[in-house]
Amino acid sequence: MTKLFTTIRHFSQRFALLAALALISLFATAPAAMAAPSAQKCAPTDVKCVIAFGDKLIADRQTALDKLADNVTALQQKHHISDAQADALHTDIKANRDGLTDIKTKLDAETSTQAARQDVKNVYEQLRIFAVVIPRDTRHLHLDVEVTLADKLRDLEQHLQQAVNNDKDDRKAKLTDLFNDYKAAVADAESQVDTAQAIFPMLTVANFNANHTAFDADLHNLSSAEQKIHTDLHKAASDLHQIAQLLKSK
Amino acid sequence: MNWISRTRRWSILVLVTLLLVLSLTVAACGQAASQPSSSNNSSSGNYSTSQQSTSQDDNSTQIQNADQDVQSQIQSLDKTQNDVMNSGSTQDNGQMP
Repeated sequence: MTKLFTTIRHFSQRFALLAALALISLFATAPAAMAAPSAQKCAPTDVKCVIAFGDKLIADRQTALDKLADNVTALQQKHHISDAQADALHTDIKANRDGLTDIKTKLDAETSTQAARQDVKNVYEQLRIFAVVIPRDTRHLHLDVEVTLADKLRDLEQHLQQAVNNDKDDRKAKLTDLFNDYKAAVADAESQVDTAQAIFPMLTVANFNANHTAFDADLHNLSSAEQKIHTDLHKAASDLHQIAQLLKSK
Repeated sequence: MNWISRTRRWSILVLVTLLLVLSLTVAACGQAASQPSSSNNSSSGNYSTSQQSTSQDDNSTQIQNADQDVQSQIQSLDKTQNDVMNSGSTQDNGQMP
C-alpha cells in the first residue's frame, strides 16, 4: 500500500514537472509563432508557396497603407489638416500602393521559385512599406496636424490680445500671464517645425538601403522635434482653455 | 425821374425784404436740421458703446469656439502621436519563404 502511494506521488510529481515544461515552452514559442505566421519555409520548387507568402506580405502592406489613407481622409474632413497636406500624403500612399500592385501582378504570374523569391525581395527592398513609408508618412501626418494647429493658435493671438486688453483689471494680470505663456509656446512650436520639415527629404528607401543607421538617426531626430512641438501645442492649448474659462466667468 | 427813382427804391426794399425772409428761412431750416443731427450724435454715441460691447462679446465667443475647436484638434494630435509610436520599422524584417 505504501509502495502504491509512493508510486502515485512520484507519478504526480513527474506529471506536474512535465506540465510546467509544456507550459513554459508554449509561452516561449506562441508569441514568435503568432508574430511571424509568414515565416514559412517553402520547398525549393514550390512556386505556389512562395507566391502565397508574397501575396500575404503584400496584403499586409496594402492594409496598412489603406488604414493610413483612411486616417488622412478623416483628419482632412475634420479640417485638422489642409487639403494640400492631405493630397500630398494620398499621392505618396497611392504611389506605394501602385508599386505593391505591380509587384503582385508580376509575382502571381511567376512560374519559377527563383523569380517569385526575387519579387518577394523587391517588396522589401524597393518599397520598404513598413520600414520607411509607414513610419515616415505617419510622422508627416502628425506634423501636418501640428502645423495646422500651430497656425490656428497663431491666428488667435490678436483676438486673445484684444480680450486681454479689454478685460477688467482684477484678472488682467492672470490673463496676461497665460497669454504670454501661450505666445511663447506657439513660437517654440513653430521654431521646431522647420527642423522637422528639413528631415523628411532624407527619409527615403534609397537612404534606408544605403545606411540603415543614419536613417534611424534621422527618424529619431524627427520624432524628437515632433515631440517638442506636440508638448508646446499641448501647453498653448491648455493656456487657451484657461483664458477661455476666465473670459466665460464674467 | 422821380417816378423812376421811387420804383427803384421800392424794388430794392422788396429785394432786401425777400433776402431777409430767405435768410431767416434758411437759418431756421439749418437749426431744425442741426437739432436732429445732435440727437443723432447722441444716439450714435450710445450705438458706439453698444457696438464696442457687442464686439467684445463677439471676441469672447470666438475665443470660446476656438477653444472647443483646438481641444478637438488636440485629440487628433494625440491619436496621430500614438500612431507614430506604433509605426516602428521592426516589422519589415526581410523574412524570405
